[in-house]
Amino acid sequence: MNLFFKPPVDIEILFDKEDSRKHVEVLPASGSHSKVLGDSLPVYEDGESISGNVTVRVREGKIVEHLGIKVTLIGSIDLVKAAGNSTSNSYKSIDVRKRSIEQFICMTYDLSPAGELNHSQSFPFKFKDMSMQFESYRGKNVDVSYYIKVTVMKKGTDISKIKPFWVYLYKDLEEVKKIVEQTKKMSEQKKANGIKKNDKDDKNSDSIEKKPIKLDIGIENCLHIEFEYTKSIFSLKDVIVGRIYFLLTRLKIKHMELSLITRESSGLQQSNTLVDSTAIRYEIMDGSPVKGETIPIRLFMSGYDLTPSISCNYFDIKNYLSLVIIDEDGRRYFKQSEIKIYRSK
Amino acid sequence: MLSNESMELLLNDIKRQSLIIKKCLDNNELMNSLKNYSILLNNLRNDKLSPKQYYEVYIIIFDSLSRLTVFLKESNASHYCNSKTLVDLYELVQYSGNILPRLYLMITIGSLYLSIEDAPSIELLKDMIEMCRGVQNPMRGLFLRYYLSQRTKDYFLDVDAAEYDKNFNCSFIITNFIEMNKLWVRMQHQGSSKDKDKRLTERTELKILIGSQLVRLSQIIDTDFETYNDFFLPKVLEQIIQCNDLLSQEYLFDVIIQIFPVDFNLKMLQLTILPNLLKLNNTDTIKKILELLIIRLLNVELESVLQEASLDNATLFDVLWHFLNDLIEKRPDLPFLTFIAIIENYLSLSITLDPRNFDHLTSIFKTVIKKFKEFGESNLSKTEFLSIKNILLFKNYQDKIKELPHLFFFNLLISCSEYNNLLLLQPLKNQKVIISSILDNLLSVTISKEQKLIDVFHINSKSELESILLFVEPIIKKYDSETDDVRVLSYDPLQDRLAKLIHLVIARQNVFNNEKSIKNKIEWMIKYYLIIKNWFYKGGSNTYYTFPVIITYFWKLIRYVNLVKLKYIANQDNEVDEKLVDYFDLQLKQLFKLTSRCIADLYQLSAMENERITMPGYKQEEAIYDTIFKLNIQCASLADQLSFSEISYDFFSQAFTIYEEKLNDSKTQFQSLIYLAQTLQKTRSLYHGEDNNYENLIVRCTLHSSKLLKKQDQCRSVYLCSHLWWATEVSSLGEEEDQTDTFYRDGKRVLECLQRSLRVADSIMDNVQSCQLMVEILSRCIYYFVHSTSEYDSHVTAKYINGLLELIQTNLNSLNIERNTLPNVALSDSDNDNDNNNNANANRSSAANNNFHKITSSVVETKKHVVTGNVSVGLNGSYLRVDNLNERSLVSSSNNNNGTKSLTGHDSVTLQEKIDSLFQYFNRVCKYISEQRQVDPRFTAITV
Repeated sequence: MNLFFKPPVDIEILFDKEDSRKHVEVLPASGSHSKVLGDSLPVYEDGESISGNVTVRVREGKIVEHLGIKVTLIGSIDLVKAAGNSTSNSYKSIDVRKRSIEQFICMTYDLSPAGELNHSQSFPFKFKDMSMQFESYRGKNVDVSYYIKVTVMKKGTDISKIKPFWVYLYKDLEEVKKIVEQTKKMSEQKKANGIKKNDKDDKNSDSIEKKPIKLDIGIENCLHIEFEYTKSIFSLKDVIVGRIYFLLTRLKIKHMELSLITRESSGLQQSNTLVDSTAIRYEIMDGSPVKGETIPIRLFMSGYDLTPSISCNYFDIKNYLSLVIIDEDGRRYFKQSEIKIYRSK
Repeated sequence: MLSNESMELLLNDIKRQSLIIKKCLDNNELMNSLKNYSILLNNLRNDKLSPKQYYEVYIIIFDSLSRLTVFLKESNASHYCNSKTLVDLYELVQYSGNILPRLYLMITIGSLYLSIEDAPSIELLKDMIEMCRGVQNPMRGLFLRYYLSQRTKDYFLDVDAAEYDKNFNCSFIITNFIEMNKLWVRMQHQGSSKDKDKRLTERTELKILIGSQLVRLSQIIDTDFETYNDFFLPKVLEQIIQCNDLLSQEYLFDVIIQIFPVDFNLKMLQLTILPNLLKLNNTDTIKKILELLIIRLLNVELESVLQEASLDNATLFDVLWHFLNDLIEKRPDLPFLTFIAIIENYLSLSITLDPRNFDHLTSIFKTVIKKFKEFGESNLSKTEFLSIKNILLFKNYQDKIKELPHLFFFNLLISCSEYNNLLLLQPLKNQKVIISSILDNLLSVTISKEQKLIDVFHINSKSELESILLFVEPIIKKYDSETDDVRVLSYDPLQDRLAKLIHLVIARQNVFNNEKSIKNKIEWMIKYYLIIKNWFYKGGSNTYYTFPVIITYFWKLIRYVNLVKLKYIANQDNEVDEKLVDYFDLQLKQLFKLTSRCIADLYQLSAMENERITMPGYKQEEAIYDTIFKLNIQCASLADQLSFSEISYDFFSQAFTIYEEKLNDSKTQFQSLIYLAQTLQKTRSLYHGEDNNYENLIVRCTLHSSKLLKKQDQCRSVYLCSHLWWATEVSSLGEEEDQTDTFYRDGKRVLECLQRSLRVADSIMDNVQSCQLMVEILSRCIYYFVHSTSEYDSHVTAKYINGLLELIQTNLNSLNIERNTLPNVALSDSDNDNDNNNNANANRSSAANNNFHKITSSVVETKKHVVTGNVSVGLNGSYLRVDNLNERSLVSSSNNNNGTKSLTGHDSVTLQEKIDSLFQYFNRVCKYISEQRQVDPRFTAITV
């Protein structure tokens, strides 16, 4: 339809030095019509200034009146509406469009006051030292998206153009630790109802990264293993190292895998929906070990496109390492343990 | 396991894939090729391949992966071959989702990385081997680790490598080896237990993969004993013991034994190898490994190796021996057969190390006895006894003792009493087999001229003799259980061997030759014989086989002593030491007494035996007494020759006693009397004595002759006894007819005998036989007539001969009438009985017959046989068929041996033939008489 109603103005948004910027390939938002391949978006990080140029072109010989041109930087969390509604008009099956439920950033300023446009005009813009709270994310039910919106206000309908960009939040270990610490504290507080354990906090924070995940699990008289990941917090470039120690094995194991599962939980409180996606599937053992065997784990993460853990009011992204044992009859035995993944420089 | 077709398809597929990779590499598309390698390597995840098929796949893939190495290293893309790229590649290949392709690629890149100078080799190696743990599937794991070892081989063997750390390298390979072995062992326990054997074969096919690790280790260790000792052996042995898998333990021990220098193994034998061996669970495995070890030891030039290991034969044996003792002590569950198998190894070792050292053998047999008693005879099965038997026979070491088996066994017997003790614990049947076999060995000695004296064993002392006798004791003895055995009636080869043994031990004694003094010699020999005799005395009636041998040796010794005596007297011209002569005489008498004792024992033992056995037709008894009778006569003859008339008389009287008491069979009696007469006729000392013992004896002899059952026997033996009164020259005594005047001759008695004989002949109803005998008597008469001189009147006159001739003539006439009326065909059955008798007689008495030849041949020169066209008459009256005059002796002797021949109907002698034969005989006698007339005028008085 756009073809027939060509807007009177053509808006183009360009970021400064966009070509030389790092780009990420982002899969098309799930549920969108377009069969377009992934977009390639420029990447910004928290605290960066986002600057660029807006060119508004008017068709030759035409004059466009406008009530002003403004540029807005928006960061929003989009959610799929409650799935229940979609049943009515299932004909157009994909009514799973995400709607923004919170714009956590919305900064606007005018590029130009009301006036006339009779030739193409460029306006530089700059949002200085933007603090961006969340990392960009495109998931099944949730998106975190950032974009620049340029609006040419008119009497009738406004003409606007959106230019998305991608945000990485680089954190250093200390930050992540703090966050972990906090959430832990919170949950503890909830559980313990106000019992304070301030004294220990400092000590814990130091060792929290080095504290390995160690678990001792099994099925009675059948399998008993002990596994260990050297860390519980990983950067995206990290290597997962660990080992599995077989204390008892009566299973006829065919093989054993380590998978990394990204769990997206969205929605408000109780009514949230969970979507799991397996980001990595990695065979770590072939055949059946005997009692006393130790199987090493080493998984380079940098080669995979992983999502760091995110937590906010509307959704959570959590990462789990799942150890899966498949026996000769095809039965699967698994144990998941959460790990924090953060993006580091 | 895949079928051949699907296997072919698979292989083609794999080849195609590797071709694709080759193209990728040729086009310099590394990433693409890595991706394809992942696919290719997935073929190694196939569960359905048998070990052999898996290996085929592995080989192709190995080659293909080598291409990658070459590509990275050498092609124009050699910029890959630097540390940074390789580290990246090393990480890159680890993104492979499946572990097996991941590890193969990782190892391929990693080992290439090793070849670069600044590579962190040790970390790399550690990483690779650690990661290999992820593959726990036995076969896949085995091959993966084998791949690891193949790829890293160059690194390890490159001695100049910068970071060459032998200990690390060793421990790397050992770790890999240990893991491989674990996987290998684990293979056994997969799947259902009914495929157990199949898995065992599959595993055997794979053993080389594990063995290769040890070989690699041996290459690294090379000649470095320290590493071997401190590092390699303890770890590897520990693993071998822990894995508790028979195939693995056997194979790996074997490999260790084979690949390392023997002196390494030898040095560590006592400290490490053997104690560890002891820890193995399965005694059977211990046995096999020990066997391998010993075989290996025996297959090398042990001397030099021992020297290098600074050991000597004895210590080596001691070390191993100590092990055996430990084993026995700690493993009371050791099965007997296994134990014996181990013992066999020790025997082999001992014999090879030093065939002349019997101390080891003694301890070995001692242990066997101990173990044997522990198990208890009743608990052992046939096979177990058989195994002991083999040991005792040294069955498996024949090749080692082949050179001088008799010497070996001899030394064994005299120096290893435990051997005998063990033997005695065996079932009698086995004992006999063993003894017999070893006796064969001992008896097999024939001294050729080339052989040196050392090569032949000699008995040097009484105890040595006794050891040998002790050894054969089981077969000397007669056991009660056997008395009902029919076998005793027949020829016993064991006893035959014993008799041979007696010859041997007497011939091989050394003392006699070494002794200087004659007295000592004689006394020693007497003692020696007595020992033998006393041992064989235990044999009961078996002495029948053995005593004659001993007695013969006594005779030999008697002759020897006599010879020494005579020589002594001859040499001392004037001053003869009477004492010495007396000594000799004393010894001679002593020897005769001992001989007599032997015969008496033989008699007594046989009598005891015969009391127990009352079997009808038990002919052995007769044979034994006949033998005793003859032995007595021989002794008598010998004593007579040495002029011990008393002794001689005594032996004769013994002979008579036996004749009277024990010889009941008429044929034997006849033969015995002739034998007796023949001997008596030649004695000289008897009638030179004061009492006329001779007269006494010959009268008794003639008396017995006249009391024989059959008239023809009576007749013949009496006319033969006539010779007892007509001594003839014995040229060896210096006598000569017409010269010597001391002949004992009494013509009157001779005539009496002949007369008596004739009377008997006349009274025989069978006219052919009667006439035959008369002609024989006529021959005798002529003999005496010829020899009658003025000095010795035989009282046989021409008148007497004429009378006899007349009598014969009359009889012949009547016979002639009978003959002429005979139909010209073979005689009917009625006469066969008679023939049979005669012939049987001929056969049974053949031995005596031969003896009889000896006297009569000198006496009756012309009438050896009475020959007709084809029938002749033997000296005892039996008819012999002779086809041709020239072949006479041959045929008759064969007739003697094979008596049944003349008994067949076809060969039976007809009456016609008998009569013809008789006539011919008579004619020859008449012819002789008429011929003699020309020489001797006395013959003219005889009218034919």
